[in-house]
Amino acid sequence: MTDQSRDAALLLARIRATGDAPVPDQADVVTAAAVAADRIDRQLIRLVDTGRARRGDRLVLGWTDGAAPDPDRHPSAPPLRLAAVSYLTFALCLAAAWPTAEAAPYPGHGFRRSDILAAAIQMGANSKSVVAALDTTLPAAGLIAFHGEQGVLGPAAAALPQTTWGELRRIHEMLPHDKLAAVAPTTVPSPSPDQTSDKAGTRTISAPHSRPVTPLATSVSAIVAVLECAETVVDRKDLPQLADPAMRTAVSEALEGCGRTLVSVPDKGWTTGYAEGIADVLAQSGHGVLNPAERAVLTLILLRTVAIPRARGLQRGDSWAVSRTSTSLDELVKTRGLSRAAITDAIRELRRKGYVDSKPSGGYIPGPAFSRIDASLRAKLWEDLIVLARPNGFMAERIRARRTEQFTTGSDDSPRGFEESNL
Amino acid sequence: MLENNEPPPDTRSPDHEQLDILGFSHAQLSRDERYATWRAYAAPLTSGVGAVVEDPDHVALSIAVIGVFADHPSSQGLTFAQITSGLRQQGVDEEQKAIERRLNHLHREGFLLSYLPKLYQGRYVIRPAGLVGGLAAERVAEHGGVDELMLLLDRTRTALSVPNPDPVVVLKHLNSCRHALTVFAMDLQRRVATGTSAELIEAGRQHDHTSYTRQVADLNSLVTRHFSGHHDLEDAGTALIEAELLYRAQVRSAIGKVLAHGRSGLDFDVLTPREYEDAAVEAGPDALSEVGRYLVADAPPIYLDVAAMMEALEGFSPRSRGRIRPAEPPAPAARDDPLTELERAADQSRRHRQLGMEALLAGRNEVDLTATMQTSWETAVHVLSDAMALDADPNEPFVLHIAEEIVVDRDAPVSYLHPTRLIRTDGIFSYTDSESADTTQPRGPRDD
Repeated sequence: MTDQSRDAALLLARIRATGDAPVPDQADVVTAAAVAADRIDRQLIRLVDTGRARRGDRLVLGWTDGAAPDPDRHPSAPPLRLAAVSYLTFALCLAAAWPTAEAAPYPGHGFRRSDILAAAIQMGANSKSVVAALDTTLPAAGLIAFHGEQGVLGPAAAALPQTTWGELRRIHEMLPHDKLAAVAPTTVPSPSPDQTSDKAGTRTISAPHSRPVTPLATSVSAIVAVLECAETVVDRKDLPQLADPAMRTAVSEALEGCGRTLVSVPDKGWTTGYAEGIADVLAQSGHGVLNPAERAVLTLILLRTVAIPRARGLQRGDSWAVSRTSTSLDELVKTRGLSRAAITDAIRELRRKGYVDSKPSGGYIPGPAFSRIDASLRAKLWEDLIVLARPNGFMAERIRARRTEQFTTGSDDSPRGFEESNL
Repeated sequence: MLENNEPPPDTRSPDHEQLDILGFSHAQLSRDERYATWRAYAAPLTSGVGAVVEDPDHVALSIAVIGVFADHPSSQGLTFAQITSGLRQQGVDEEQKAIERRLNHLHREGFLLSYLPKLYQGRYVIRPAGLVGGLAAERVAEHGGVDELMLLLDRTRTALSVPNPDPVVVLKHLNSCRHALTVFAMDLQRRVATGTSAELIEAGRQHDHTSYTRQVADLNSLVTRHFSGHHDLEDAGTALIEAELLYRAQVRSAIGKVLAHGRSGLDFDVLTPREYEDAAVEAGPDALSEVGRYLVADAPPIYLDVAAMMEALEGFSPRSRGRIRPAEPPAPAARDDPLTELERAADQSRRHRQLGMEALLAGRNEVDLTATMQTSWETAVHVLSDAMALDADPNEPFVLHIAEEIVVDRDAPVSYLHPTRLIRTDGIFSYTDSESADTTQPRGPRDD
């Protein structure tokens, strides 16, 4: 792997972790990333800064025409969808930001949070659910972003497939424009000068040379699309092509260019994760990491659903994602120093990030994202819990000593060939 | 960060480490392990093989007997019946005969003493040595005797703490500590070389305490302070340090192997469930958030389902707070007189009936309607009602003839009906076919 390829892989992995990334100074890295993305039918989209966010131009990962995955094709692993209230809230945001179907939807107009909230409540939605959608779900998904009270469409909206925008354009007149007008007939902001500037909008960054369209390449990109968009592990019977070693190699190579890797989950199926060393670099750079409250709540869930049942001999296995024991909010709030509200907020974020899931019968369990982490991260997580449960024991001492030794000698599992500065 | 080799903040009590060691439960120890431990423990006291009980419940019953005497203090001791009753209250569910056998054994061996030195006196108390033996048996099974290391260190420290410590006594204690450390080090070495994963985990639990090194170093400092220049004691202190280093190396080796096994298979039984439960309740947010610092969000992008969005919009239409009056029908347009309208409608209906019958006649003057009516009840009703209406109208040149006989056909759509004929009476048509010519008759008197 060349330096450019590694940097491109890191760039694409960062976009996966955080939704977008600043445009690197090195043009060749952007080009290499565009080429790697093109191999899986994705394309880099440059979001030209309109001046509102003052973050500079950003890159997101969109879909080439007609390449968006079909959500109904692989029933064992449906994609991540929004709840009804979140859909309603986004429809209101979309109606406010995109008043005329003929105009380009992104970046669109700004809108006020209070207007969206009032309109949604007027339509009969639960106020708490709307607030959660406005403050957490939709911004975390990147579909909208707020700068104070003022909201705009987010980078994930710019990355939606063209087919989706086509459908939205067809139903544009059915968006709740009238509901917004009813709650704020005169306060819907008109476009500011920078929003209407010629520079604002999106620019597609195409690969310099389009790859030849072969049956193998088409299959590879289709498989990658399914794996990358599935919320959970894809059943083996849904991807019988991966039984072929040649196909697995081709998929792995395509994923590697994007900082990803193919993961086989025993007894379940296939998924994808960060390639070796990539997650460490992202974590060291602070990109996409869980915040302290989320980590604390996740630790409590892992203690109650994995560590304690396994210490009692109730379950076995080497996967964090398999747990027959669930825990409840009432159990989690028994801990000291974390309020019920803080735990609830953290769980909502952890669910969106895939680290927490719910059983159909109720109760929280480790989420499907644990299927995506590699063996070294699985082991480190186990060690963390041992250190937490007996911080002054020999085992904790040994674990700390080993990590210090690895850190100083550079012989640990971290970054092989990847450098933080590249991010 | 853990990578910086700094222990994470621990919000628990300073005595937590000691609690760890004493916090093991019986459930963690297999019966075989306990039996092996007790055999080794009792070997210096027994003269033959098989003297140690194999069933740990027998030991537990002896410990329970101690509890009965504590809960039911009596000035003259307790009878077997009272002891048995007390055992039942403590949840012992052994058979009556088994309890009696065990109590008789405890009496024969002197664990239970007769309150008065009379034969068959029948009231008993516990000999204190029996109490100590029972507790020691329990302790040695739980911790594999590791407690003894702590006990020996405490005794040595106590011997050094008196105003004028006796060098002979101190030397004896130092050697005892060294012997114990060496024995445990050798046992750990054997377990690392030949032990199973479960044995190593058990050893890792028993020896996972880091304060021992500090206590040995402190002890050596005390020896140096009190007996500087006393070569035998200084040598013993140095030998104790060396033994501790050997022991510590073996502990590290055992724990390293446990860690290697544990991290590959996510074996959480390297610690007790209680320790994880304590962490889930007592660890502070800072300690909890030290876990998973390297986890990076890896969620798929949201799939925006436009159809689902439209469904959500439809589902959240504004709710009405009261009943809404239906929309008023549109005002009628200016029309002719209602009676004229009625006559026009009646004419239109008559015209439709006329056209229908003309169609059935197909240009003839007479037609048999029976076959048409047999197609369905609905058709029969429709044809018959139209024909009767025309027949009743004196201005219409139609006569309906309904025969008296009845046609019954169980399998036909219309299972029974009278043969019916429609006759045009104005005779405007003349056909060449004989049937039509024969049936063409002027309107005559009705036969119905």
